[in-house]
Amino acid sequence: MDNEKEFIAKLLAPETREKAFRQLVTLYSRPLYSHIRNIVLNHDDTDDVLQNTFIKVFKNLDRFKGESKLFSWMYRIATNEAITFINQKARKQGITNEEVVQKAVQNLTADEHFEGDEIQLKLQQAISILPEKQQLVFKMKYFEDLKYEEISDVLGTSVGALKASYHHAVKKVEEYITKT
Amino acid sequence: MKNFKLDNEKKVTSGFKAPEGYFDNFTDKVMKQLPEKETKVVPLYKSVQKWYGGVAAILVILFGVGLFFKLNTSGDEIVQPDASTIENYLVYQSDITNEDLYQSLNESDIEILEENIQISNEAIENYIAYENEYEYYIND
Repeated sequence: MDNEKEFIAKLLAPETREKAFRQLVTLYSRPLYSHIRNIVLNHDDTDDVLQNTFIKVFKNLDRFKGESKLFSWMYRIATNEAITFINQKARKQGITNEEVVQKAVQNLTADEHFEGDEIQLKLQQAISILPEKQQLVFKMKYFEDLKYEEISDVLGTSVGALKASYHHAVKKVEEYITKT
Repeated sequence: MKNFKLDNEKKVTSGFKAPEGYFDNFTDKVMKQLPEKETKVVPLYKSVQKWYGGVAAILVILFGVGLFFKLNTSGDEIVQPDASTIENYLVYQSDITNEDLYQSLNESDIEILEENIQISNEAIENYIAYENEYEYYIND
């Protein structure tokens, strides 16, 4: 976004808010879809979480202080929404978050909106057995190509810790794929 | 697979795709769900109505409590209701809402409640987990 400050001012002003927000949704729906989909894995769930994310962003616009970038703030809300969704699903089904994700990976072969080949499926399986934070870091770095500084803004973790997390995640993923 | 190294392989994508045309009407779908943001002008008569409503509700509660104890006391004998009687009354009188109860508490009542009620961390966590609205404040 060329002039973020100007755009944020439009988002906050009641008379320009709707038009600016429409622009925001159009601009961010694809990257946020990918981000949420990488966490919840299934399209229908992603659709629900993505809509909730934008509604939450809209409701909280007045609270956006501009201390972080709009991008990081929205990604943070999307990440929280996706994780909350998994928590709720786990509670409803009486299983752990890890089991929810592993179940979703098992269902990928029958998912018409997943066009992964054998290696892509193996990669998803390998990621699903990583600790939650490592999963997030790996997906944001490897699939979404975000910079460590950007991930740091979203997750509130230091760049050094993120690098270590990613390094461990890559090792485990490579080991898993080599063994299977 | 022998010695798989992510850096040595062609970039593996996630394999996820959105249904065709999904983003074509996504923006409209979101825009339709947005809450109204305009400041609503509340006519004076409406706020007066609310005020009268509040007074009426308090009078009904006071009258109800009085009547309840009047009916449950025999003759001239004045019986001070015990805590469980009051609790039962409040629980079974459906027209007293939680909101009415919160409104009737003052600061010292809240301090006494804080001293007497132990809330476990687990209960707080569960509450926050179910109430998504609070997440924003925690992260902010």
